[in-house]
Amino acid sequence: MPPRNEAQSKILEVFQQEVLDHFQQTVEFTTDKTAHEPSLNTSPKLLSLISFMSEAAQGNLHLLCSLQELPELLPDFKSFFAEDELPPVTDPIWADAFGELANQLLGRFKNEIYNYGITLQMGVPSIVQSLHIEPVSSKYSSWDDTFCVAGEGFNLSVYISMLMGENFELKDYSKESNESMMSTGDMMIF
Amino acid sequence: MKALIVDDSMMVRMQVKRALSGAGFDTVEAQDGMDALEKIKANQDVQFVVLDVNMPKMSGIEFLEAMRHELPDIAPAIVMLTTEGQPDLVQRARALGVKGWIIKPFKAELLVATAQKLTQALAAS
Ligand SMILES: [Mg+2]
Repeated sequence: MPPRNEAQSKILEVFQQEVLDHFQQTVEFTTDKTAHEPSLNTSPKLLSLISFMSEAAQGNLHLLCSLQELPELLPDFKSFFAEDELPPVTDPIWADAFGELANQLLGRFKNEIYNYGITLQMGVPSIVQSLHIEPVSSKYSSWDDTFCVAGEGFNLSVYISMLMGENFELKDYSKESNESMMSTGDMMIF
Repeated sequence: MKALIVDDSMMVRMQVKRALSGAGFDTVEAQDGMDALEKIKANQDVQFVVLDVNMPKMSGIEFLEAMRHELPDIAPAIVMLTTEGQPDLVQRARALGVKGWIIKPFKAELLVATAQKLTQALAAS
């Protein structure tokens, strides 16, 4: 489904870049690299969907993944445990960690998109776990651009609502310099 | 030395707890702002608070406002640990007495250094 307008295209582009940057950084943050050899080479399955409810101001972030592959998406948390103490993927801690992953991905996206003059409000993560999350086919919807989840094996889903500020239109897509803006990894002591 | 860890994510609480326990802090945990308010009322000797912003029931900022209102006599060192970074939010927290701001994901040694620095400053004041 093509995005409805250029602003939404920009949103998707920025989000994608932030997701890539996040995974690069969490691998760097994983200090005990020998324990589990965290690596992005395993190509874990993560599907992210940003849906827009209207022409402008409301949207959702959905992340879906396979529970089996979730620890590979969280190398820093995986290395938190000794190898023989790693909780099984069915332990609720992993679903919680997935919710926090969505929170951190959307958070860094929110901070980046702010530099383009867009204020985003985000909700708290809702996590759904099931044996198999069935794709919703567009044939059941009267909306011609309903998204579909293709493929199988996704059994964990997290959902965060987002609300764009009034200046969502993002006319020129220019990145304004904003020196007081903080971004991932930053620390400030007052 | 006692620290209160406030975050709706169990993963984050585990990570922060391990970092602070390793530095000699006793820790108390809360899963949202409302829970944190109860915990700090019961643990008024808390010297350091690690506080998330986005949480169900009561946000970190709302917790700060409620704590200032209901417990005006306690002043632990508070550091926000959040994905949020917008200047207006940072300013709002700062006006409520927050001493530091860290954007997730965090490095454990950085958090520990901040905790030690701020609690030492608190003890000296
Ligand atoms: Mg949170």
